[in-house]
Amino acid sequence: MSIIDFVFSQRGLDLLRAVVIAVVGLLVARVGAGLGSRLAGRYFETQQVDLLRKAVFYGVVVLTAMSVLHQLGFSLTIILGAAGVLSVAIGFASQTSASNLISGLFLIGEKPFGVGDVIRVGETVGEVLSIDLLSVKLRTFDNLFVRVPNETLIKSQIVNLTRFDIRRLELKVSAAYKEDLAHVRRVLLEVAEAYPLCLTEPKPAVLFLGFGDSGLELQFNIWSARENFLELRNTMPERVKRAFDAEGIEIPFPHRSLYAGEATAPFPIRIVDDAGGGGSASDMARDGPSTSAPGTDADGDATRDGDALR
Amino acid sequence: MTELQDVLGIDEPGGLDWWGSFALEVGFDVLAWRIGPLSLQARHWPQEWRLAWRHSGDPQDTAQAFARAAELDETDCRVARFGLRAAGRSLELRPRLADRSVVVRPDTQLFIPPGEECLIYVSTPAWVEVATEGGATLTEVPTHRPSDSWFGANTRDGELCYASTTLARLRIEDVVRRPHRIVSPVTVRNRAADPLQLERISVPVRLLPLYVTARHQLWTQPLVMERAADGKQGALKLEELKLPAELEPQRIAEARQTAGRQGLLHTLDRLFG
Repeated sequence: MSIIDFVFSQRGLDLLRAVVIAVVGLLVARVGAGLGSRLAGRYFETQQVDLLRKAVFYGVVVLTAMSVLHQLGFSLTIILGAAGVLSVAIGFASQTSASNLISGLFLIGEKPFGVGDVIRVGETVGEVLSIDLLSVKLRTFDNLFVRVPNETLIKSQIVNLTRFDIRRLELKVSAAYKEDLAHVRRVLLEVAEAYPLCLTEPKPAVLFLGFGDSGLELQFNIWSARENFLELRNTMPERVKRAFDAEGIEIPFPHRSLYAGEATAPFPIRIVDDAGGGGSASDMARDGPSTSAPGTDADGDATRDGDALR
Repeated sequence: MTELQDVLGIDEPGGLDWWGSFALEVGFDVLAWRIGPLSLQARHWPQEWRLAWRHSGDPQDTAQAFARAAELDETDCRVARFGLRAAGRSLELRPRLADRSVVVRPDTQLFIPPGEECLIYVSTPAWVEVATEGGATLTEVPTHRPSDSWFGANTRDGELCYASTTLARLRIEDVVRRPHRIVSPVTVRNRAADPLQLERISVPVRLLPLYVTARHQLWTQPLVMERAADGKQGALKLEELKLPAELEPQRIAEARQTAGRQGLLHTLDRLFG
């Protein structure tokens, strides 16, 4: 049979019809997806529009495929029956993917975050690049690419750092015990008032956290616009330190007091001069007994005083 | 800062007005202004203007001066350069209102009894728009950088604005002329059955056009803020500026944005704090 005879035979015509259906179907799928996404773009978010575009495209492609197979003489009943058996096997194998897919749909519907938001998932903080069917793509601030499965997001606590327009900074501040708490509070509030990026409302507040080991523990709460938060976080400690220095407010170092008990005499202290020599006998009489052995200095060497005592 | 001479004579544009067109003279390539807390300088090159500015930090500063100089003094200044095809030999300064709403807090508590209304004069800092002789805007600089603030019922729903404190003067005679402040007459009307405590008022300056009087004071269109009878809703209306005839108010700038009818209906928490 020649090619022309084949083309004009029943089989050839069926094949030709199948090809035409396939081409037209693909065209309709593409045009339909484009039109649908353009119309939906006015009412839905980017990721929802993308989902709709893919749904329309693949939906039309599947229908086209079924028409083509039918045209070629395949029995769809048998194929669907085989697909039913196959789907059980595929279902077991693709549990995770299916879970991610369904989680993705929930995420898109619930909208806890959008593209461009900065979120924290576990220990990962990053900007959302895309919200896809199976996963969300993040870019961390050190420019790493992170793929987070949707299932993980649905099960985890997500913190959206850029949801609201303003944000609070909690600055932990310590002041020495000798400081007047009211004075410290006043100085902190003056620092906030003098800084334009620090919001006047909600009002800055100084909270007393407790009597710490080394000093008074305070928390200084200040607000800023979201885009100024980083600058506030970097600049405010510097301003607080400068104000404390100007007002003579001491920020305490950690320290410990040694106390041996009520019945114990104070620890004897002997001051050694820069030359490293021990004090004179009169020094010892004034200052009390040395902690080192008589006749020796702190290093155990014989001293002039030790000679004098002998 | 370049030594400024307090030039307020009629040979300078506007005289007591800090706005207008300012031209360079031979031998002087720098224009310098002092407008309240703002010190602004502009250095000319054939295809560039270089601006330097700083603030004194004192919002009550009422200094006003203009001078020409040979060199720019950039000490402690913020500097910006503007490239142009042809820089021209003059600059124009135009007064503008703030680019955000201003939350004004009376320095003492103010109550409006039920059924009463009160006219308060509040002032907000002016912004200076610097433009070339061709009309192109180079930048806008505030005469005083107010503190950021937030106005809304909670930290989720509201708007970013500026904060200002007002003496809330109730008589026009008490309004003091300050070159860098713009006065807004605000009528607060309380139609509810309980007193309205005015802790804060959000003045939507973006919606207001700008006027100047014969006394060289900047004013805005008056506002009416009304608390509805249910005590929950609020309405904001704009009124025609009515000042004593001898003040001869003239409109010199349009509003930054126009609000449709929807823009003028607010919940109460968007007007009063």
